[in-house]
Amino acid sequence: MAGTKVSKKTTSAGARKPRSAIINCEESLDITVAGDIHGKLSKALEEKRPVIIDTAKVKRTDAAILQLLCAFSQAANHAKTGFQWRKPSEEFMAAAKRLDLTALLELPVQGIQGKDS
Amino acid sequence: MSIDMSQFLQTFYEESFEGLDVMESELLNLDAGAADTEVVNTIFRAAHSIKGGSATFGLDNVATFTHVLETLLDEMRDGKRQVTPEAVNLLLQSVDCLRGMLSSNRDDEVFDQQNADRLRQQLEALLGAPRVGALEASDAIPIPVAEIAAEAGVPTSATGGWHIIFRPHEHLFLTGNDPVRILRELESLGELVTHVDCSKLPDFSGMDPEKSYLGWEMDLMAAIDRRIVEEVFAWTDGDCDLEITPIQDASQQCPPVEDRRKEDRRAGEDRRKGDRRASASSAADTASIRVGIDKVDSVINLVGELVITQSMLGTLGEGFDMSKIHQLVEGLSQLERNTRELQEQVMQMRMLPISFTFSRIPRMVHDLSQKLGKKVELKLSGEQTELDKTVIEKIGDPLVHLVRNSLDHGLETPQERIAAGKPEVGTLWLSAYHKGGNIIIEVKDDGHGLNADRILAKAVERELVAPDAQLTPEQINELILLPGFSTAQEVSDVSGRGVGMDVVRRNIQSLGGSIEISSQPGAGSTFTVRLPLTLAILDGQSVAVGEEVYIVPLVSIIESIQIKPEMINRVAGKGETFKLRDEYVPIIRLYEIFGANAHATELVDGLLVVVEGDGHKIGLFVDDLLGQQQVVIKSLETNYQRVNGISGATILGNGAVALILDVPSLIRLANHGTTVRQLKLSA
Repeated sequence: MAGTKVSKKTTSAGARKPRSAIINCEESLDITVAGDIHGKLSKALEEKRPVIIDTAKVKRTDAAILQLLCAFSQAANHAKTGFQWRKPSEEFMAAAKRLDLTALLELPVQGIQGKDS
Repeated sequence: MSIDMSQFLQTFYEESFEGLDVMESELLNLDAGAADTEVVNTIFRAAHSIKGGSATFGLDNVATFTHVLETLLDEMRDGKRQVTPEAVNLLLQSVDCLRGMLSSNRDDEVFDQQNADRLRQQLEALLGAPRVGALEASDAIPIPVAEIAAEAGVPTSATGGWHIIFRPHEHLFLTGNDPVRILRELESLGELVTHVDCSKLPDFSGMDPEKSYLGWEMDLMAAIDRRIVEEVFAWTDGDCDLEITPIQDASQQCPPVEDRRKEDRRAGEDRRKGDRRASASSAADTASIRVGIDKVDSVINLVGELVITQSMLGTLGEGFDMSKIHQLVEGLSQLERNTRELQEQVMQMRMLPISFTFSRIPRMVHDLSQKLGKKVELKLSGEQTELDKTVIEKIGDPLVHLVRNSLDHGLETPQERIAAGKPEVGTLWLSAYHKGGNIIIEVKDDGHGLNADRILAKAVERELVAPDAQLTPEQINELILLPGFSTAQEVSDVSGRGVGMDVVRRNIQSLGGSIEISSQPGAGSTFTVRLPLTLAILDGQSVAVGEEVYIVPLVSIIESIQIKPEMINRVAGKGETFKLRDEYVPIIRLYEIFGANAHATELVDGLLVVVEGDGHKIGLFVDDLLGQQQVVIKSLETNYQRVNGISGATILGNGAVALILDVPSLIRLANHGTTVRQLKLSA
């Protein structure tokens, strides 16, 4: 359209880099929102968008969510769409460590105090 | 779709408090030394439910504390630990502690964790004590752990720990269980090394987020009993595959835990598949009320009939002429019947059995009798007698005080009772029944009764009665209801300060009730409390003051008289009084108090309604008596503001508002010599 500026990021190959899908998680990240999170992550995978998962606010999580994120981690790596964690809270990381999922979730190892979730 | 879990939290708190009531009630029923297994089981189930629910909602302090409690109860119900009076007392204290924890969690208040820690240590110390049948150390013959394990068929942990394989079934999450919480609980037992098995984790696109696909293999480095580990997984029974084997005795593994559980079930010992929620009766809760479905159905039915009647009248009203007058009268009569029935049914919904009030008493009698060194048997009757929820909430404290007084001042010590030729164990009866539209509650003991001579002497000493006053035994007994009256030789922290009985009477009167005392020296005393069944409806006498209508509570009225000039006296500084038989009663001109325009300003032109409140009589001067009726009390405070001298308002049949008089408040107003208008500004 004339007069319309479109800003776009381009990769070195000239292709447009897809915009990241940001999943902002609330204080309680558990089975009650698992369906919702599954939907958002599925959409991001379909659109081949990298995902940023922000768990800074998470005070409480459970195995259902952690399991879901493990499956997503595998799917994202397989599809090479990539994902990253933004400020994972101590409680979130402690719960993941408790279930021995730190490596699968590719969470940073440092700073995990084993704090209750 | 996200679910707001907070809506379930309120239900959890309600059910947990009910469960604690069950625990307390059953603990008081436990016979130490010969405990009924079923009673212990009931207590265990209540604790088990609270533990599971609190863990689900993340109330870790409650879950952790209850876990220890539950372990002790489990050993008791298995017969592995005796039920001793000390254990029962400790469990009762633990129930109190749990109540405090739940309350502070619910109300977001600070809790005394030190007390909880202290109790928990005592419980753990009790758990650490030798069980029933344990050998004394000097008699024990050292037997290798492996041999014991082989003989018993039950692996025990020596110094290593436990190897745990935990594979949840797919539906585990839907049962409310969460491996994060389970593993956290295991971590609290010792060092835990965990390895996840995600071999069954499906593709992301095909997975169901609410199904469980992961499993874990863990090593728990803790020299603890196997049962403690099993207890962590108690809620997952049937929802997972579980293996618990000792790390050191891996070569002598017994059949997997799951197979052993199947054997337990066949043996009929599977108690964990019993009730997972406390099945206690509802508790009185100021925030909500539980109503039986039959009452709700009845109200719905009546509303349906009301709608039909309303529809019929509506149809009749269209094109009405005088030929249909009989149908109209019939329809209005039907409407009145429907409304009255609906009113009765709705009032019934607020009715709760008095057992909610009585439930506090057994525990109190248990603790107090121990403290006072007295032996008391409490007998309750009429617990299912129903009365209004508000009355139940407010009668609790007065009843508690009456019972405390009976225990402290009425019932004797065992030695005194034997010396008096009585059984060593005193009896305290607490009963409730309906009579003539009221509820009667009796607190009766077989103690030494009221000492009339001492009461009279104390009353004379305090100038409450004249030295030469001739009082009946009932009048002497009622002297103890006066403020500051106490004949107690000592003030104990139980009673005796003289600030209780007058408050009891005032509280009962504020409920529209009354209290009577009867006593027989050496045989005991009976305190009889009479209460209305409901606070929402009042039996009143409507009186006219000018164009205004006021309602005088019938329970306050002694009599109504037409005054004669020779009966009137004017006392300087005290206003007008009239002679009622042998006493002088102050006169309160209602039109002055409320600033109304009365038709009669001369005392001989109107009527005096003699009322009583707080032990004082006054005569209310009104224009006329209009009639007696039941009125529905509307709160003035809710709809306007608090007004001294007025306890509420009602709407009469003609739509006019009538104010309901607060007799005790009027008496105080009259003594202050102010008008209601002046006081209203400062209310």
